[in-house]
Amino acid sequence: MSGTEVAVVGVGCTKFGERFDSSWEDLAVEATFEALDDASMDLGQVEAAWLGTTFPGTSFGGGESGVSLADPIGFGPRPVTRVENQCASGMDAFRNAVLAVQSGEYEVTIAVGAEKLRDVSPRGSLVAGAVKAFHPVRGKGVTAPGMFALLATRQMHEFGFGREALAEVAYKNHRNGAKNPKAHFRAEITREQALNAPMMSSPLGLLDCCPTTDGAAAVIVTTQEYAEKHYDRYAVVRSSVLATNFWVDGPYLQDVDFIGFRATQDSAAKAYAEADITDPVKQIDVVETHDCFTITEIVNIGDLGLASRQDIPKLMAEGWFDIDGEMPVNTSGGLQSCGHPIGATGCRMIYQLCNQLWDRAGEMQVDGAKVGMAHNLGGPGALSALTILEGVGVR
Amino acid sequence: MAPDRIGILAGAASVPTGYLDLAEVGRAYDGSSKGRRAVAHFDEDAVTLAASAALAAVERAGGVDEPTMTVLATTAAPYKVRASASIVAAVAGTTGPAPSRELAGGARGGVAALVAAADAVAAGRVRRALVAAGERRPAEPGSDWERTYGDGGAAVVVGSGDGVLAELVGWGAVTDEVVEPFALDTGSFAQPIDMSLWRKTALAPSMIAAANAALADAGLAPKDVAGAVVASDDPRTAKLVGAQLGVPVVAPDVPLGAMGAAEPLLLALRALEDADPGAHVLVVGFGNGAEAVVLRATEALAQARTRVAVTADIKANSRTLPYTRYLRHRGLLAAESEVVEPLASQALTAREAASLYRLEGLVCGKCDAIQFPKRAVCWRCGAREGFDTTTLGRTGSLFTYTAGTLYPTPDVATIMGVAQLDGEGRFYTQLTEALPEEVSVGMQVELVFRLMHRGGGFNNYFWKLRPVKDAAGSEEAA
Repeated sequence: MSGTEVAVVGVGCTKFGERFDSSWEDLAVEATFEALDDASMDLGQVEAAWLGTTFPGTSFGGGESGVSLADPIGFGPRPVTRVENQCASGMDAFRNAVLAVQSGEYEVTIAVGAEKLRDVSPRGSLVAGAVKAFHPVRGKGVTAPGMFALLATRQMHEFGFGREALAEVAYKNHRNGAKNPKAHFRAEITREQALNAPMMSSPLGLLDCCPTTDGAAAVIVTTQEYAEKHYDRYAVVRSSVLATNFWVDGPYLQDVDFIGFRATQDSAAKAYAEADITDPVKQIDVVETHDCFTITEIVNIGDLGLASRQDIPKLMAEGWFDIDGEMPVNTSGGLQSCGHPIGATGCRMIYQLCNQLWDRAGEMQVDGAKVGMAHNLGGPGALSALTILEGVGVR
Repeated sequence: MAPDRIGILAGAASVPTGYLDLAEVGRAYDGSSKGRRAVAHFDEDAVTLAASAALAAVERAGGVDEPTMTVLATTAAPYKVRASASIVAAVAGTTGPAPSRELAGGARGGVAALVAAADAVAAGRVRRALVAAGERRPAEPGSDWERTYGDGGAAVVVGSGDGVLAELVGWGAVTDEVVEPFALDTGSFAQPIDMSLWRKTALAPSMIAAANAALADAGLAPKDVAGAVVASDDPRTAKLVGAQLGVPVVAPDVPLGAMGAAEPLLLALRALEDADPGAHVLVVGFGNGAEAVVLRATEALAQARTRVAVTADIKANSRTLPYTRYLRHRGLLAAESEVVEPLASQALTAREAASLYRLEGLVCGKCDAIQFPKRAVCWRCGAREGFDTTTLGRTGSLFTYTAGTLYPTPDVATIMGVAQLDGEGRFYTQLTEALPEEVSVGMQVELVFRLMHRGGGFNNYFWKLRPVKDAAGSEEAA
């Protein structure tokens, strides 16, 4: 990263779940002020904000534009920009908040990710969106699980593993999520439950899919200089990048392999170079990655270079990616347990990393975690946001 | 001067893979039925059935290299107002500076379309004409018509010269006003009529009169005819007419049901497939009167039987469609949650017509990458110019797939698949006429033209993947 060094000094996150009691605005307010409290800051100190919301259509206009955040938190006349970059909207909002500080324009910014999906039924939100939207006939029939299931089928064909490999991911992430007070699902499941769950989009069953969830998360960004002066703990932003690739017509293109996502690979190459990471497993202590579906975690682990693809199911079963494993992945329970309020997820991942780096992740804590990585995917590998943070001050 | 030899250059059928077991249908009502009938899949209509046959017929005729007239015959056109022949032409590649005709309403349209095509060629108005027919007629659950009708399509390319495989050598017709099986413009289904009255006083006499007129026109007697196609929508009339003429009646290899306007073309092709050069086939269609032609198999046929081969298509009608699923496919077992109306656009459909109907794409002149959908910047090498137009191949193997129940469908599941097309290129769309357990990576698939949905209030057609027909067929568990 060039320019001013940037740090995170406070994070906030609502309880994720079916928040029937709360509006989009309620969620955004809750996350914003929790982050400010965490940073011992007043809203008046924040100079500009970036908002990540992907589907304002399901929240009656909440998240429709920057002002939809400015108004309920009382931020005017200061600027708020809405970022919509699919499922990576939250982390891209964070990236923009980082860039603004890095450029020297602002000293303190905030990124807020907020999504209200459950004011309508699950079938009325994402499923209806896939049925209604996009090209009238090309790729018609696609659903969110259906996009990723194409990779699952191809991986299983290529590497010869079965649905048991997927069940290992569900088992691990639900076990982690049971320890996470902010998660949507807080119950462990057995591998058999995962395998026997109703089929959604083969080979993905119900417990291979993240739920439809409401939630918001917020991150306070400032200069490293300010952080050093005012905090005994903070996290330096070693890298914050975004990579793009093919979008909805990707499956029509000859070179797409349905094994990995180029956008993730490209974002990892750039982030690792910026953060001087040559051996991610050794140099990174804790990883949050985008497990919208169990197969996605397997794909991402390969794309991020955390294990060779062939070995991932075996390593997963052996506990390699557990909280106390060699390479802890999704200690929060991931999207599988936390849920995936689309625009909130990227900020929620940073919230989890900071808790790990500041030694306050409770039962989820990875001993001695110092460097963390969060990976927020958008579309079926159409884009990838990656953040690498280094904790300062705890040890 | 009219060309001396006018007739069929090639032909093809599109027969659904599914059939109804009429014993199962009978058990739902009066318990009296047996046999079977072909039923279209939920995404097939009269136009897709006609268009699929038309495309195959044109390809067998060696493609389209000159303006070609398009004639569509159907009693089940998807639109009440507007023509559907142009949809068939768009798929078959016969749009452009040439006429089209549509013979709707009566089943005699199948024979009439053939005559109209031959007349246009004889008059020198066009050198070639594509004749296509498709039927997917609505029948009320429990009605006789539900067990009588069959769905399917057939098409022939008509032209002149040495390539003619079946010359049109005789013609005859009768017009008669009588109450025939009908559906009112305000009703959904064909109504019951006095069948005995119709059969004895109108249908059989008209068909026999038209047949005799055609034979006389050809200078033939019934004994000179190898076989007769009697497309009457009434199996008893077919027998009656055959017996009275003293000519063996052509029947499909498996019972398909009464196929309306498509039946005379389909069965004429079936008869020609086995005909000896010089043999005559009588083709009689009905419809408030009747119309008949005599076809003479030429010497060229002996070397080109594959250009009229329909037996494999007929035999592919090999999978039972459970009656309840048939009812769902037709929207007769109503489930509003199965209806999808995606965002659609008249402007987009017009703009992308060549891609939507003809699978037209681009190929990059710099790196050879196929661009489908068409795009301005090559996805592989970034080139912005030097593209050539190409048409995607329609066969390939399944690269990956998923079967799900979230996307609404009247079928058991929506299966999405990515095909690796033979040569190069990928295609991503729904699979059709397949059950999830029958699908596997690597299986052979083909692109078929289907009705996707009625988003925007109009018919949105596109291509789906279908497992390549296995000659043996596979029986679906009911």
